Amino acid sequence: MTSILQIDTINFSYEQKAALREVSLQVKKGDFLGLIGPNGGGKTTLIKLALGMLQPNNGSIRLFGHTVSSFKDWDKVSFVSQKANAFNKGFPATVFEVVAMGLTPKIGYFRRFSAKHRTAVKQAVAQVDMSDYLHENISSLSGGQQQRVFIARALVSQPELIILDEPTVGIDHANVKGFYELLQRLNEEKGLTLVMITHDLAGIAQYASKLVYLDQQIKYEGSPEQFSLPETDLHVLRGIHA
Amino acid sequence: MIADFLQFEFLRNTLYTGLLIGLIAPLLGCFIVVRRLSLIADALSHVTLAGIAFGLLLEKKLATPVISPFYAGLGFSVLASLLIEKLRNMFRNFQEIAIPIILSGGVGLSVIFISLANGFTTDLFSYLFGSVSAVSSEDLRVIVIISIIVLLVIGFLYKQLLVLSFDEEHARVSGLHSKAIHFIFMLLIALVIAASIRIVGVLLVSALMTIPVAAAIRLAKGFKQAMILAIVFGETSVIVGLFSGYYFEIPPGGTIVVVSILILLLSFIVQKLLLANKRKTAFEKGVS
Repeated sequence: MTSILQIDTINFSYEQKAALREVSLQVKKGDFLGLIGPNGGGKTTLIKLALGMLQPNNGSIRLFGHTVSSFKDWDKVSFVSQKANAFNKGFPATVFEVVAMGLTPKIGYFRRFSAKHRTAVKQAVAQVDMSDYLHENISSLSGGQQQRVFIARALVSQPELIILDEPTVGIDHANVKGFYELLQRLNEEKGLTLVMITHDLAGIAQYASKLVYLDQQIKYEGSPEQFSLPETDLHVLRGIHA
Repeated sequence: MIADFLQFEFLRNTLYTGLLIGLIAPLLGCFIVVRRLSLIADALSHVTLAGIAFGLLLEKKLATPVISPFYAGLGFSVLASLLIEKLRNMFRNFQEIAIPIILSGGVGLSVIFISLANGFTTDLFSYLFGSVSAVSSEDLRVIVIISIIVLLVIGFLYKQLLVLSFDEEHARVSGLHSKAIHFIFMLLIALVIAASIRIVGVLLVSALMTIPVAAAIRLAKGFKQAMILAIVFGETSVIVGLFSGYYFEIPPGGTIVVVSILILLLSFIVQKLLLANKRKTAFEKGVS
């Protein structure tokens, strides 16, 4: 299968403090990868490196076969950040306007927002079952609904890879289940490759096709069914879920 | 009274300028407010005052005019916008500190220039609080050019500015040239402030960029709707403020700001009525 993201033996440190050591990881087309680990284990750092927001000390990162620094097809990649649902709650934006923002890089500076783009936005909103709220203010929606809108924003440019950084934080249990089911549907039916950072081991293990445990180094990489860790790491993991 | 504004050239200039700044100040203000940069407009307007004082000082000291106070104010404002960005980069963890540094620097320089000139007469007063008779044909030409630049840039960069305002991280990951767009945005603020000072005055210019927007975001569901409402409120404030200022012989800066605050108060009442109506409809739906 084609490699979408290829990380080879990277190290990264914030000033003197090591954040990632000798990390290698491959994400193939169609994977639904759950990235778990303790706080400070380097999960968000790894994602920022993969998206070119940080530079590794050494090693290489390739997106769709290109080094991140030379990668240009950013419309193939969408990112739903940890901060997405921490947006300014007073911001006057409708669901339509928020989802349309996902098309901005594709449309560029000099092209206008056309009827074709309008249709793409409506389709993306329909995919996450939010069509009834198209012209509602995003602030008036629940946390779960807002997160669906951010998924629609990620989907609208028809990316091949979506990276999600703790998207279920602040969402109630019932909506989290629906959210995972939505991701699974997108992964299986649309063939979308997904990388999701989460602390919810029980939840992600049910839906992901592959699990990676990162605590500065990769301690586990494999299927969720066979997930196991050395005793010392299990203590850390129990600490997360205590 | 309206006939006066159409009959006399200087009043016509004021009216046209007012209509233009009633359009561009709230338009740009929408992005300023949602990006929580309202105080930057204040800082830049105070530096513009320093530029104007510098220009007036040169006018007073030198027999031949080197640079008009208007252009000196414009130049200072643009330079300060660059300096604010430099300071925000230098103090990454305390970015807001750039604003008091620039604001107090502007006031400090103004005091020095005013003292060196042994004080100014009515000219400075009109720059501080605006005037209905201060807009020359040359000023109007510059303001028309600034308005065209602002409208064109916002027209081209609307989508990018909206993304940058809503989610800066998403903008960076999407490959948008965030730094360059922000830099252009800062220059636009400097230009709009310079364009507005003749009518609203440096001390009140930021009000025209923020108060109509504050009223608009109480009522609007979306960003485009907020922009349209902010412009309607801005134009209403300018027109009513200009005419009443002329009628009562008060600097228009004061009347424009008071009218915009009245609109803001009205928006609170309208919002409450709308919410009450929405609750009532929801309750009736629930009952039936």
